[in-house]
Amino acid sequence: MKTVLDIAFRGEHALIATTEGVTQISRNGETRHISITGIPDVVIRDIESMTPSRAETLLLGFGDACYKPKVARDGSLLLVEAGKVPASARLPLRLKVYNASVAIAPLRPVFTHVLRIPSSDGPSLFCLLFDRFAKKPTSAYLLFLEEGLKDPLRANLSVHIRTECPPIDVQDGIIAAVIKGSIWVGWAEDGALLRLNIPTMEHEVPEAIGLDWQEETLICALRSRHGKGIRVLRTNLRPWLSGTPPRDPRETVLGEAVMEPCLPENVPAPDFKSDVMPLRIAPSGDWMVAQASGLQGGGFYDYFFVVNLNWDQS
Amino acid sequence: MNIFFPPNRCVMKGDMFYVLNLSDDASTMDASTMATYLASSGIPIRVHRWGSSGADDLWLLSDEPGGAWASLHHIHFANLMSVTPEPKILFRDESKIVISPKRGGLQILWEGRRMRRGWNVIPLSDPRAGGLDGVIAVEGEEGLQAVLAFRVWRERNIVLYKPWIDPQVFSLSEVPMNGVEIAYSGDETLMSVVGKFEGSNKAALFILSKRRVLYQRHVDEKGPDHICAAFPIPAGAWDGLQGNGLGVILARAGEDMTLSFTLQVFEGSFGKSSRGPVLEKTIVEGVRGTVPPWPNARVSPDRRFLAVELSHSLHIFSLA
Repeated sequence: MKTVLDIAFRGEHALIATTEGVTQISRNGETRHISITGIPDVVIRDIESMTPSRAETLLLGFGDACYKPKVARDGSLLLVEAGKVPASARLPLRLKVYNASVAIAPLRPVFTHVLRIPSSDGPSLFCLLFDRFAKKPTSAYLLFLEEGLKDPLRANLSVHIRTECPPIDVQDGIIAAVIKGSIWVGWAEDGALLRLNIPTMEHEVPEAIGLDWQEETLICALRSRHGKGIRVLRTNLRPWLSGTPPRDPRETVLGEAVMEPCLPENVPAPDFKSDVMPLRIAPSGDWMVAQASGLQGGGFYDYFFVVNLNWDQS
Repeated sequence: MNIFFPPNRCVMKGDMFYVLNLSDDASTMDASTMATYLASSGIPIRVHRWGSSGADDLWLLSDEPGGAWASLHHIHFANLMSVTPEPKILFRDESKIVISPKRGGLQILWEGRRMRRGWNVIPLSDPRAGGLDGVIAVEGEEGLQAVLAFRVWRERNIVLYKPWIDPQVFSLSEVPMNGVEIAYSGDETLMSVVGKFEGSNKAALFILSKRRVLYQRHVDEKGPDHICAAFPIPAGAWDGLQGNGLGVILARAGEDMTLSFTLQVFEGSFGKSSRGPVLEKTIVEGVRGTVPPWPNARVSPDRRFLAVELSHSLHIFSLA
């Protein structure tokens, strides 16, 4: 199964960075690919603008050099040098991360995943430090950093989180993440995350989340560990953010999406109940990127595809 | 777990923070309304402030190895819990508690001044007294009056810091941070201590500045009763109690595997420690669960609630 570093959304396109290269997938299913060799030690999900619609890009740092996927005029995908790894993304490493790396992985490299948002009051960098990319929750440190301060560290949380395409989102000062198999949210400047007791089945684990704070909602993709498929729910965050967990969390569910997968041509259809992993939900909330992998006809398949989320029925 | 009572809330701190909003209507407080938070880890610091309503002012000292990450975080509540870095804890006489990276811990600046080393440093680890487990800072009318550092090595120790004198180490083998309560009576600071010390399960009431025992209550360890919490009661704060007093919470395990909790109130005055309770009342009976050898329990500083952690469940009872 391909190791997914992260996914960035830009309009109708998604850029998927893996340890084998970068794939651009369009909402209509069209894909482009460029290969890379080597695993970046820093992956930055850079949110360039929050409004009116969110534009994200990915930066991959190998040593000091930073590369950015870009679409050329002829439509092909390029990896262009984007200068040095931004100082802000290096900040935790340069500062004090040495101590953390000792604590996480005494002899192994430390990977950094950075979620960077346009400058704001309060933290604008959310760094995960970990020693391996994994689809299963892995121990990591989640740092909240505020740029421009002598001591930029606002919070340092010890977490268990999927380090491949980390399920973290930030929007309008709210941060949400899937940690230890639960969804947690909070104001980034509070440095603390509150666990949501959303109504899931016991066998369901949240895999992907997306925040739509103006609507005060969170979209989450739940995957069954017992091969019972995927559900995508939209929930109302307001009751939790008022400070008291709702007595009946079922009342906070605003709807469940009808999933309309858009498979690439010439690929075997996956078993949706067991062979599909939701990776990231687009900021617009009406599509997501998933990974299909499994065995069929004696061969192994592993590809990315778009799932449109239709909320009309809910 | 450590139990805290910031304004209108009960907070339990283990790996995570469990927060319950306190309400006079006990039916609104149940497990479904308990909020669970993830935040920076750290050693808890409880500050008791003069002139406040008695609620705990709660801080954290981050405890990364080597102290290189050491920072102070202040915990407060708007709608949600917030844990934000602040450089120092300030007191009314300009005393401060600050991070001292060079000395690997906290430094107390009595009246804002630096003193001879050792008088005012609370290291994260101390080879003689053990690793730091918690801190209670007590403000009196004149300002920062005392700081208690809770340490654990082979046994529990409490190191008492007071202005201008060397820190004193008290070997109190089973007195956790939850076992110390502070209350203000006139211009005096009352302190109660509960736990196992001097060989038995005890609760004691002191005047902090004088270190004189006002009252001691102990139970026979072979008996059915166990003192799980105690709290000081300032003169005039409890009907039927003339002077300062000591409230004691006894847990009793019944034969039907349930627990009952009883409140006893004693008047505290020098040399009369054999007197019986001026008040005794049952708080609750028939609670399912077993008492671990040293239950984590506290009475809220406003003396309205008892919080008890029994093997993996938290109970809040009204004392009123």
